[in-house]
Amino acid sequence: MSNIFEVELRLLELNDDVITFKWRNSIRAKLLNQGAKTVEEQRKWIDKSIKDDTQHNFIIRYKSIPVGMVSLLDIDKIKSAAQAGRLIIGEEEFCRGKQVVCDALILLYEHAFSTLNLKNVYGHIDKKNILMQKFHKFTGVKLFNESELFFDQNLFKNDYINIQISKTEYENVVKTKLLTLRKIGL
Amino acid sequence: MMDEIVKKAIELLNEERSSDEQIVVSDDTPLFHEDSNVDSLSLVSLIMEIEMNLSDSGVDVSLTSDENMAKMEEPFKTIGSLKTYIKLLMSSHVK
Repeated sequence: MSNIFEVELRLLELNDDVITFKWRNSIRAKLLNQGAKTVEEQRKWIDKSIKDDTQHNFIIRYKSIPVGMVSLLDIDKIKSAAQAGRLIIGEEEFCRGKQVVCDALILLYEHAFSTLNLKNVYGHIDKKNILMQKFHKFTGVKLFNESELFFDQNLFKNDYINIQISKTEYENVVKTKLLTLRKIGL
Repeated sequence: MMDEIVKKAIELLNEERSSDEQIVVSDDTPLFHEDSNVDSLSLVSLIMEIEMNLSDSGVDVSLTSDENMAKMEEPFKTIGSLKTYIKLLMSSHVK
């Protein structure tokens, strides 16, 4: 999956085991769920995830160089929803000023809303991950810590900050904001 | 006022960063630059905080709008350039 930008998403492969293991165990990924403890475990996890139709795990590449990963999980065509997650910029210093975060999110949302034609994307952010919460809020994504207004009560997680974005909100607000931020180089 | 707003926003951001990633409040400190350790999420947080603090002071400006971004090259390069950028926006805001 590519676009007019220099960032592209490609599906995770078995050979990504070493680099994704390194990223998952970095300090920057400390607020993600616990991952594999060895490269071998990581390889088994990749093998399993490749065979799972409900998740699309992507390597983010900048000019063909792997720099991070992002995923669409729990893809549910009946509910017309999927969960965005596992966003890791593994090569942060290299990516600075190269619009990687914004482009990766635009590509992920385009995959969800255009390719898969889903109506909603949601996510769960660790309550301690203030910077990620602020980033999503700034781009116009809705944040919820109570379930009442969340689009699906069964997908709400009490111990997290829940985020929600509809196809319309993406097209009318979030995409514009992400395109603006990418001009700064984010 | 503007110096205090930027300082306050950076101090708040530093609370979310580890001890070895603290941003020194100095005009020469690189922000979004190859020599900086400020990542995308941190810069957005900083922008958001500054916009909110400016709004609380009666100045509603967007630091990332196309119109404003066209007024200066690399406004987020250093803390000093960010302050210059905000001053520029504030001067055009107060008419």
